[in-house]
Amino acid sequence: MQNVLSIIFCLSLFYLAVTSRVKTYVTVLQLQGIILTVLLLYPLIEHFSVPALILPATLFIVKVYLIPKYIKKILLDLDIKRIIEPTIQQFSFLLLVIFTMTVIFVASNILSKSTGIETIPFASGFSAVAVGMFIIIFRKKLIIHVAGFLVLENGIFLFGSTIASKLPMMIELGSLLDIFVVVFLMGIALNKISSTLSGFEVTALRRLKD
Amino acid sequence: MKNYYPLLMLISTVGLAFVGGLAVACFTKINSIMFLGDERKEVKHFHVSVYDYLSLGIFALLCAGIGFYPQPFVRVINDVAGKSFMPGSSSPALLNINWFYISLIFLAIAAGFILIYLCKLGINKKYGRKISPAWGCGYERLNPRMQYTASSFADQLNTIAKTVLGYHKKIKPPAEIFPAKNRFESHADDFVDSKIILPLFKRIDTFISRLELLSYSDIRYYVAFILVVISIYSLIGFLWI
Amino acid sequence: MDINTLLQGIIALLAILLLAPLFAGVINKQKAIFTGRIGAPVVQPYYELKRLLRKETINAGSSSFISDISPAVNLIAMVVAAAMLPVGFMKPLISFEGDIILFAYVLGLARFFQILAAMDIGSSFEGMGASREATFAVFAEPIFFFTIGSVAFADNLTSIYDIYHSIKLNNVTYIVFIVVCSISVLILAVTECSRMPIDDPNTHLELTMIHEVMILDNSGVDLFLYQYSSYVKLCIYAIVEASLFYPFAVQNSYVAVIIFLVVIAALATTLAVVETVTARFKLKFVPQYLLFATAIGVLNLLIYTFTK
Repeated sequence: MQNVLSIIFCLSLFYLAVTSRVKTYVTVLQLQGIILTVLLLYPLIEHFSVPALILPATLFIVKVYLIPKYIKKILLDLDIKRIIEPTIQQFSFLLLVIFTMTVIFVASNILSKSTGIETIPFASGFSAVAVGMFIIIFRKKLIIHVAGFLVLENGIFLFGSTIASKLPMMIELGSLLDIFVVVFLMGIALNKISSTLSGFEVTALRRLKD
Repeated sequence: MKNYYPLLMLISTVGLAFVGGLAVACFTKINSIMFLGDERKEVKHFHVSVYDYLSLGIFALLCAGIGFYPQPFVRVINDVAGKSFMPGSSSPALLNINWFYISLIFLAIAAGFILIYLCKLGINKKYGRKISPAWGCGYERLNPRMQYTASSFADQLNTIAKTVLGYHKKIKPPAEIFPAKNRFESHADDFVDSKIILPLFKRIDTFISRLELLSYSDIRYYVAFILVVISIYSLIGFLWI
Repeated sequence: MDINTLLQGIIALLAILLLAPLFAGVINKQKAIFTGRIGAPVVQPYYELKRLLRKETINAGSSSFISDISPAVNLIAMVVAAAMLPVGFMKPLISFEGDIILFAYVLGLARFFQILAAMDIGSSFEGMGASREATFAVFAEPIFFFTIGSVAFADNLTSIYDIYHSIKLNNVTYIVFIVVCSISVLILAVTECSRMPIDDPNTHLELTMIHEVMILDNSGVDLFLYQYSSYVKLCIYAIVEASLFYPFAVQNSYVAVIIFLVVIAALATTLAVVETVTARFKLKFVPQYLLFATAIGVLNLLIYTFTK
């Protein structure tokens, strides 16, 4: 079951790499939140315990409901243009993502022979980290930067959950880092910036240099 | 160690399919620009002798012959493909292809084509066939200069790979309402040639030209240089063998 | 080859050739229903083909013998390709080791002659369609080998009949593998048969993009042969897609045939829904769309290799 969910996760990463609409990022983040929640709920079928429901429920509320609602509100308030202008050609971006994913899968296959991790969820999580970083590097809008950071965190959570038997508390704390991202970085910083600079591009931040 | 040979075969098949698609694009472009459609400029003196047709015809017949009867030509390749390059290779499926089926299928294609063509000729005789100018998309004065050119055919493919190929176009936009004569040029450099091979050879050239000076100065230096090089070669030969 | 398999092969081939326009008619009828119209009857393509046979053939002024022979080559190539497909449990007429490559390149032969015939007409309109077809074919061919080939490479099989017979949907990973493969093959089928979102099959004149442009200046028998071969091509790709889900493990052959027909009907509904809902892509996005299908194929292959 973990394999199936990781495959759907990877497909959503490919879809992120080809899309050129801003709203799609929000939808894909919601889908990834649902996948991670199902992944957490799956072991509960055998050993059901109410305290173990807290983490999936919080994850669901934060990732599927709160964060997309907040991003959509910002898209509406600041009237951000709905199309992403690409920095490099879309075609080359997808080629880069394919190549990186292949390397990661092969490397994690080699790793899984010596350590005890499972190949596919680990590789999917790691490639989500890579795709998140590519989105941050190759896209100009600030909202897309934040979305890329959230994808990166989803990836960390996914491959953290495969080694969860060793460090359970750390993974749970790290996953709730999302809330800090949303509240502090995005809300305060963006609202303050919008009063001085208009037009949300990263190149405009260069004016803050002295 | 898992058997990765089928995976390599799959990747090479995909690569061959990609190359085959590019070959179809290139060949149709060249063939259609040269032989099909209207002449773009009038050619006044044009003379082809029978021997030109004969030499090209022999090649064409050879190609068709290999297609219809590939057995003796494939036997050469089978000897190479049968040796195992990697541990666990030489999948037997590729060597056991029964080439008789291929000949049969191509003969069936040829026979079916003749049958359908004869039916088509019969229907044409009954209902008529005539020639008329092509649809010019609403433009009345269709002339041969408006046909698709070779660079327009290849434009879309070139634009996809334009970073690697260095594909750029040079055009001046028209300045007035009724455009005068203008130039258009599109150019794609050969990436390996211009960025890798030529600079390498240039550097080797500058290096060697310094040694060339030896042959223009005193002849004794030149003879000494020859003696040094011969002794280096014989030392290498002695140590290797 | 005994007489029983020969008979089965001939029945399969005749079924594809006779029912191909019906498949297109079903898709058109469903599209009409989704947009609130009554639409043409389901057998309308048959009436159109019959009408075309009674018309005069007109060729363009600058065309040579290529325009004459290309429609016939198209049709015979489609018939040969259709003879290689397994319909349900019936063994195809042409089946031998390595016929997967012959299948792909017989379809390539048809495309080659169609591009040449389009450039032969000597108008810039058809040249545009020919250049687009050549470009998209470069990216579409590898998808076929990636998807069907990756199903095949697991067991070293190279014949289409054997490949489809080795699909046994018993564990979950394999089912996901086949589903992701079928998404790739659907994108390939939409590109090769020039349906939405690559090309609009409804428009025949000014708005055409790829396939309809190339056959624009033909009429009469030529147009009949081209239209019929495009219907057969659509049916071929529909069977390639639907056979991925055919339950070869089912013992009763009549139940299996009914399941096969249900899957093909579901595929027709999917195509109709996709054509109604999506708008056409900008043409510079199509290679990226095809690369997306290749990416899915690569992912599929990686996951399948590293699970076993």
